[in-house]
Amino acid sequence: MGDPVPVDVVALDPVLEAGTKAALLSCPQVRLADPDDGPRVVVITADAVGRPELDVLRTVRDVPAPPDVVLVAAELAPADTLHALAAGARGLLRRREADPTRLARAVLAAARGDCTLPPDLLDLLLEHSVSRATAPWAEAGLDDRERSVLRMVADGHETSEIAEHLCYSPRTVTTIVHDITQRFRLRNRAHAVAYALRAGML
Amino acid sequence: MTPTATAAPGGSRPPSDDPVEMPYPELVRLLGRATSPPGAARRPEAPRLTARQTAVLTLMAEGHANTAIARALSCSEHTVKNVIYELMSRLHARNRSHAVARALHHSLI
Repeated sequence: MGDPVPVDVVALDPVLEAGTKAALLSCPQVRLADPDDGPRVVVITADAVGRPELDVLRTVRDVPAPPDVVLVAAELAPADTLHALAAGARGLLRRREADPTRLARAVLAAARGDCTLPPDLLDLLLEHSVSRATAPWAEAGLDDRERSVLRMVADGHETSEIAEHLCYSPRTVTTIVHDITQRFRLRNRAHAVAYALRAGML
Repeated sequence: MTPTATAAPGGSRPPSDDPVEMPYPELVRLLGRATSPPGAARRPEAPRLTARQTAVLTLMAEGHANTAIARALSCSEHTVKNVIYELMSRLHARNRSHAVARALHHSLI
């Protein structure tokens, strides 16, 4: 048994934050992170999984050695789940199911590189053809034009080749890729390809 | 084998609705199978990558540039470039985006 895993909590309100921390601290293998050492795992407690929650997740992960993230939300829809996983979440729990034991187990699993999901959600993800699933928040997916461009990027084509093949100007191709990276807050083309494949959008 | 059986050692599904735990690449592989169009050509033999190549690819897939990768792995940028050059050839990849897509296709990251 190693040292306790340092954890940070990001919550909607102080009550939720206190509750999440208390639940975590009931497990001796978990401790709260000091300001100087930084968290190994961050628990985000939220109502839903939408753009604001994913933005929090991306901000938490936007550091050189990012902490793993466990997301605890009131509701988890399949498409939201795929986006959360692609954005770096390594554990997803429903609030009503997240008792202290399960919460701590999800944190410990994330710290050793495992991913935690409710079994019915996993079944839903695997049963349904989620490739065309669109998250309820409007512009979650890719439109046909964006998908065809990003698929060519994933196949290793450069801007000029994509432009020629799809009869767009190189500038249009660059703009389309730029729109995708802006919308999902991605750093570059490789990041966009990985995100789209992991979120089942490509 | 069902996905839940994969996660439960011994192959038996736990009777409760306890959350399922599995390594992230394994989950991506399962989801990739679910999200691929039916009849899509399935993965032939996966290229083998070293631990360092996998680490570099993982950071590339998160959109990090060579300088950031070098810092994260405590090595020189020159080393990162060499590792990328080598993994590109193993993956038969034309560029970084292609390498990331190929690695995901083979469930290497």
